[in-house]
Amino acid sequence: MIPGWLPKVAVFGRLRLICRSFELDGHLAVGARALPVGSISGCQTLVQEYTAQKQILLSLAAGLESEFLDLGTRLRDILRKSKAVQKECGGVNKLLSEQGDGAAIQFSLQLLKKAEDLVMASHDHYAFVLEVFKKLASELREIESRQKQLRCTLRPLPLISIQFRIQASALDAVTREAFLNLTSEINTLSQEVEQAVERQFQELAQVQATSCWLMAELSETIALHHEKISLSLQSCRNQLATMGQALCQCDEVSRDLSSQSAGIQKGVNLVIMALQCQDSTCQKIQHVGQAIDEMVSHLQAASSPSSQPEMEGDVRQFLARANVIQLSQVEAVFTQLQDAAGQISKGIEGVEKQANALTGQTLTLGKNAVESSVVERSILGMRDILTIVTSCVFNVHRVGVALEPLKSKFIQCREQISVLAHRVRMAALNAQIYAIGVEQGAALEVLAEQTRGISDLILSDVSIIADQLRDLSAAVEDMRQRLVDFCQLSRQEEILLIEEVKLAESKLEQVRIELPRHLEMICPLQKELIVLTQQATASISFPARIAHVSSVSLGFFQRHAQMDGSTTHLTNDSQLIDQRLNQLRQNYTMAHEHEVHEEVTNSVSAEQGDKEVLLDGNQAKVSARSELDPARKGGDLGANIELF
Amino acid sequence: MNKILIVDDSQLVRNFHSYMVKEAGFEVTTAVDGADALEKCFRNHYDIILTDINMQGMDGYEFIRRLRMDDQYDDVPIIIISTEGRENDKLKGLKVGANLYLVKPSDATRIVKSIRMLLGETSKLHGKAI
Repeated sequence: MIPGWLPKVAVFGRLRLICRSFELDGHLAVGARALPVGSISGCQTLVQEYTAQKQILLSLAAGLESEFLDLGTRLRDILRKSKAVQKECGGVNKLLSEQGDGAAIQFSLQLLKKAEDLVMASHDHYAFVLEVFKKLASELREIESRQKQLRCTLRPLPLISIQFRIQASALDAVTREAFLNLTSEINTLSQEVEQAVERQFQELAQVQATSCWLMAELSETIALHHEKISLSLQSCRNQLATMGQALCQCDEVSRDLSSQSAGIQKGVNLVIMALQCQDSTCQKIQHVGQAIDEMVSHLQAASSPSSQPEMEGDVRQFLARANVIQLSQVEAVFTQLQDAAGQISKGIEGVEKQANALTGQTLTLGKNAVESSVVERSILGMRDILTIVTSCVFNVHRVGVALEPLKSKFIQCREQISVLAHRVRMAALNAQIYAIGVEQGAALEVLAEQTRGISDLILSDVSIIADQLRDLSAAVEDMRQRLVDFCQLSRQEEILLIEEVKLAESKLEQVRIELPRHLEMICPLQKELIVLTQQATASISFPARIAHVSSVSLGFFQRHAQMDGSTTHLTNDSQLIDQRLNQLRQNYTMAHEHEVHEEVTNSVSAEQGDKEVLLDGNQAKVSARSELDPARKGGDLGANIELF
Repeated sequence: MNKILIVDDSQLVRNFHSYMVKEAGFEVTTAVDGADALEKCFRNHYDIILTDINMQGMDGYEFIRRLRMDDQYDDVPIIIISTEGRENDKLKGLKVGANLYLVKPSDATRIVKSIRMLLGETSKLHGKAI
């Protein structure tokens, strides 16, 4: 047995019983009423009843068409709105994936990292400068001790000068004059060296004090920067993280909304599929109407004064059997309509459920939209950080500038005292040369020798100081150069950062502007969707109408199908009735109707021993069975498609 | 944009099919029966035709038969969308010249997919002929 047959047999079991009660060897079923065909008034009553039935069915078909058209329009509006919601949600998702947490926030966080690195690098440089300055201070203290040493070295020179004067006083005027000049020069140079060293070191101390003051100021700024940048970075990162969470949630809710909109569309599609039954049911109702016309024409023929008793018998039997067929057809129509009504109400229920769920989600989305003001705070935070970066770079530059005079002072100091030391040495050499040329100048020679020795010591002391100053100058120059290099690099980095901050701002700004715009669009759409869904639900009245007409029509045809059609008066040609019934069946061309008819006919035929000739023969039977075969149908529309 | 003619005596079906096909990006014209469709086909050219079978006046079979006799429509894809789902109905549809037979109710995705498939196949066939 083909599995597909079972449910159909069960469904139409009642029909088979009716047919059995009617067909069994012409015996009447208990309680069956005879069809009132025998009298003219009875025929007219029947004609009126059939015509009224036809009108009821046709008016149901017209009403269904009108209601389905209206519902169709409403469903299209619902589809449009849900697609619009889906589009806006898609916009939100696109915005958030392109400009939101996926891009703008990550980008901004990277930017913050860069800014942090830059500020930290400038802090490292400050630390280096401070370290160098500490070293400078210690070196300068050492030079001060050298200065004391130099003073000690210079101290014998005035005494030697007096000795020179004493010794020279015993010589001739010219020689005395020359020695006095030399002595005076040595004295002056000695004083100059001492004063110069004194002055230069005072100036050096002043420059160093200025630099130290600058360093102290910078240290404070550095500490302030460090604190500020830490706070700003933390705050900005928090803002971005909050924004990231809000946007992430927004993205999720938007995806849910989108999926609910898709659910609405799915529900609407289900309803649309069900609504399409109107086409076939209307056709079926038209066929029922045509069959009623046929039955009416037979009744009218039977009610004519010229009709014969055999003809009455034929009509009686024809009507009885035709009523069975009509009943099956009308039952099929109502079964199909009730199935459709069930599907429609299920679909609409789903649509309503999804539309209501949208409300909650839209509210969540709205809350996230309010939180999106963190975007503004994030932008401001990034600007603050950029200001700190600029300030850091500027301060590093200031340190570099401040080191320049210090370096110059070191060089100037070294050069001046070196020149003076050489001049002292030259004067000592000259004194020695004069002393050698003077007769009885042994004492002078000793003094000149002592002076030269002192000048060598001065030169040595100055040379040591000069070397130390050169080292300090080189250290300052190295530091200055490092700061200059860092400044150049950090300026370039700063320019890039400014550009990137602008880009990040524009991305975040886009999120800030576009997100609320999308959300503002979704809210009214969702409200409209709810209203449309409620209106669509409220507009559905056909199930009640179907139930009413179904009870009236089925009652009518059941009543008439149960009526006794048996008669002793029949025309000789009983095949004529079969032929007429077949003609009646020819109206029912659709597969489902065929199934119904063949189901009924087969059961009757089996009991009657194949009394009737099937309209489409075995091929039609096979075809109808194949339509019922679930394996072939597959429960899927795909099985209905055949590409030729 | 491809032009589609939808032929069905049910306004509801016409509305649904028009909506789903328009949403898919096609230009749609509708006709209420075979005679109306034939007149529209000869006034304008359509790239694909969707037709019902059971219609008052000129039915779908007659419409397709007469359309196929015209040179301009001898290879234009025709899809039958009917409530008739029996094998011999489908064979009859093929015989008169339809390319595809769909049974109602048919969902939007399947109809649109079928239209796209047939339009693609037709252009490939044209390509081969050239």
